[in-house]
Amino acid sequence: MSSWRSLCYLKAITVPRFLPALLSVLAAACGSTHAPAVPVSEHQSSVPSPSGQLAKTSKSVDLLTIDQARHLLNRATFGPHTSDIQTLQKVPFSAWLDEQLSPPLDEDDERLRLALEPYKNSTLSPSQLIAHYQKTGPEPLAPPRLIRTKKSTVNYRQLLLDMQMHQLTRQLLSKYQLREVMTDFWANHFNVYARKSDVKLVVNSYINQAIRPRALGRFDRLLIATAKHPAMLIYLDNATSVKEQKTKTGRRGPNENYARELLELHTLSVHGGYDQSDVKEAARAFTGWGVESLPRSEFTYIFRPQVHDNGTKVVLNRAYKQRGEEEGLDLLRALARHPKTAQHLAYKLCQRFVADEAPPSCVDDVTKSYLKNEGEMTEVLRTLFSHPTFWKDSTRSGKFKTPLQFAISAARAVNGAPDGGTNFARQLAELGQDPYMQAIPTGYSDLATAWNNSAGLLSRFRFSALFSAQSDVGIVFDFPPAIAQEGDPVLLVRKLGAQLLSQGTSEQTLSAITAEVASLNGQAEQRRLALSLLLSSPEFQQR
Amino acid sequence: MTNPCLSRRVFLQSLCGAAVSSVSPILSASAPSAQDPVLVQLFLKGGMDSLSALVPYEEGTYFDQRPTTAIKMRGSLLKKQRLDERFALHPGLSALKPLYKKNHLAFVVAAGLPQVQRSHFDAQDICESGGGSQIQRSGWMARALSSSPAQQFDAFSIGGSASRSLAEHESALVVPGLDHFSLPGSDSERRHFETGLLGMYKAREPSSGQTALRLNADLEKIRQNYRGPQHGAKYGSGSLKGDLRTLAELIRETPSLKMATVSLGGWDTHRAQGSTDGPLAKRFAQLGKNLAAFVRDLGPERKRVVVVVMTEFGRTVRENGTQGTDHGYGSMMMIYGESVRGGMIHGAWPGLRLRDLTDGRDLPVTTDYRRVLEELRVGHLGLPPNESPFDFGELAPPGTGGLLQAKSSPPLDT
Repeated sequence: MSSWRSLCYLKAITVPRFLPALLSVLAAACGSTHAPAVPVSEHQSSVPSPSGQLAKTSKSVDLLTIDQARHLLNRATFGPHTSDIQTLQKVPFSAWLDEQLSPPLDEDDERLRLALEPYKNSTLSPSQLIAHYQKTGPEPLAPPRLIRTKKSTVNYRQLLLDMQMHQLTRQLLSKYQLREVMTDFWANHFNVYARKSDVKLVVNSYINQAIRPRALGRFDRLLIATAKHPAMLIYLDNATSVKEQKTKTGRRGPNENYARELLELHTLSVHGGYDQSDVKEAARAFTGWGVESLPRSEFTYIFRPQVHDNGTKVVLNRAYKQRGEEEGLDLLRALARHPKTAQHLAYKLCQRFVADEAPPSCVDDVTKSYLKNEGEMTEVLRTLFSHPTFWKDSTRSGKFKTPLQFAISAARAVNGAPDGGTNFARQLAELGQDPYMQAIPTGYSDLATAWNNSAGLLSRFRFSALFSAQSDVGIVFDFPPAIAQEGDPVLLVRKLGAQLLSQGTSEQTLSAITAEVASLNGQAEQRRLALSLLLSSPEFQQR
Repeated sequence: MTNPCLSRRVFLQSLCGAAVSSVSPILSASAPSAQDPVLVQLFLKGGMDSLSALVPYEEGTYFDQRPTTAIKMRGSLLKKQRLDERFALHPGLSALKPLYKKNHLAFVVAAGLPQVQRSHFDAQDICESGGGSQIQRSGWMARALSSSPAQQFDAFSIGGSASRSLAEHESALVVPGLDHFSLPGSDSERRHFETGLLGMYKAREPSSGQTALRLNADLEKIRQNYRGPQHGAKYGSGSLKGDLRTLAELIRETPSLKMATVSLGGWDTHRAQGSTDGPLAKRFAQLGKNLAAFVRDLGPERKRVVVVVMTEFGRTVRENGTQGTDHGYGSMMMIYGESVRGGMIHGAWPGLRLRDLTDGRDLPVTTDYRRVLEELRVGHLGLPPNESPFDFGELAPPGTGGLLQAKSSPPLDT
């Protein structure tokens, strides 16, 4: 129990920006003779000691070195700020991870709440969105003949920008960063295209209500929540999928779009051993899973038994019949349990968190963890973050940031916040990753091959220059006093460099920046140039 | 002018300048020739009403179905705008009439997707990705360009956002217009920033950083040396003005350019679209004036260029209750180029009899838009016929063939 004693010892330390909830967990643990609800010590054995990477302090607490802390924060969050690194030098890694893996449903944080305020209208219900986001202007409303004509009076552009800013603000300021990172991971895994049809009215609820609360939970629950959400039902056309039938205007039948992506992208993977017949049969199982739209309902999931195909369907050699809505649910649960699904998800997680070339040993261990823990993501992520491949020296800085990770990590590095406008979302579009606007169901790629190109780099240089001048980027920040008052250009670059980059930053980068900064006169100009070059540096493109 | 650094071709200066002397040239030093063909895709987003652009003035149905929005083609207007015995050009597009008379402009009627798709974004994405009924992962231009080795400066999306047509083409560059492209800040700030960037990226990974800086240097030189439209070209208004001005200059200065995309929105005319005047007529005027100015601006370079104008779908034959038209199906394509078999209207015209309309409401499609793009890809760009970026399924209607003059256009086997 020596580690427990050292955790209790933490109570006496002042921990800046540290999470009150963790302190209460610690307080409870220290005051109790029973084993704590979260068995920290058990996980400590699996903490990254296998390759001896972790610093063993005199108190034998699993504290991380500065570069280890930066590595963890680069992968498990949207990017480190100096105070996050300081926190991890005082709080054991396992305790930090426990805290990140058990966030409260509603995050109560004053800074986040205030920052979200300007975008709160984007979280209204569909009918309220239509009422609120009306185009203003002298034009009288058209005679209410066609629904389409009526809809064209809605300012969808503003609605979508506010929606994007709502999500970007959470990614930027939430203390529960791992949940935001996983929400982003799943939002791409279960991609929807915000511009398609009425998805624009439900995409915020899709992220906020279907994905985020389940981002760290059991995979089958998340899978079912996405399958039933109007955003997915509309995006992949299941809302119009009905049993084979003749109508007055012709024939109608099942739509295979959702079933195909469910098998190929959401669960088994393209090499998952299913065939076209499985796709067709799965589509029949989901006939009748639809959406009740306005004006009858606020875009809610509805099962319509009258258009559900009650015949027998065989998917992956298992029969589904006569169970109505339950057939689809049974199929989703079976798919979530399938070893190919475990392997597919493990591969994608290892790609996201470890390396584009996912290490086979990591994929194997994460697959096993998934199957053993019935897809419980908290356990799967513990396996991932304690895996030797995650902590290898060669893993560090080996991932190329996506535009989203680049932009948010820049803002987090300087402790910036949105200015209440929507320029930050527009910048993401300029950088090539307009949030929730990927039309194809694969979502945005997390791999260097998708983003490491000349046009992408040039747009980042441009972003860095605008960001540093606090011009048109929509992020406000102040330099800390130690940097704002630094008159020596060499020290300025060293200090700001230490805030943004790891200790291993190359001499080439630092001297190239210092040379240019030193040739400028004003201190404000020097700070601006130093920041824009640091954000543009080869090192800052990596995480 | 023996010193190459004093050449008119401004990109050479960047190769001679101190800042980038350590890097190899991106651009060929030779002047572009007719052997460096360029294909420009001008996408009209929102579903352009082809029945207003190309008025079927002999069809009674057209006037019956469109009491307020039909273009009343008679008398002097008809005489001025008449293209042939069936069609007349919207007066807003009259700037294009001389190109048609010179046989450099052709139209393909009833062109569109092989399957009905009435969602803007799906239809646009299918078109730009070169699909039939499904959105493809990469853009059609990206797949077309993959048959030759990747080259810097071979593809541009003009206008601020990456075109879906170039998705997954690694060297595709988004150019938001010459006025916006450069790095921000004063000249001095920019110089320090660029020198710092060069120092950081010199001989370093990712090598895309160095390439980006070379592109930046070249584009910056192009920008600084830009002398405005050439050959007396007078552009019209709207976003197309800046985009096409930029593109004309880039075509002059970048012999490696093969494909470029430009788009113009605002065609979704559900209400009060007007007829000879009104919002749609204004949009046509922007298109017509700017496209005609672009052709003029290109000067001798126009020999290298073919422009294809397309949209995601046409609009309903019948006007709706709000003096507009709704999402339809068949539309038209417009092709400009000196190698085009212009001065004529290609494609089979299905007519507007109600019983012949798709779903009883829309102009059918008789030419798969991909057949047109494929013919230009092979005939104009000279890319290998057996490496088509399109997967023509059984459903695809045949193409027209013969869009280009015989020497450059092998017959298309449909």
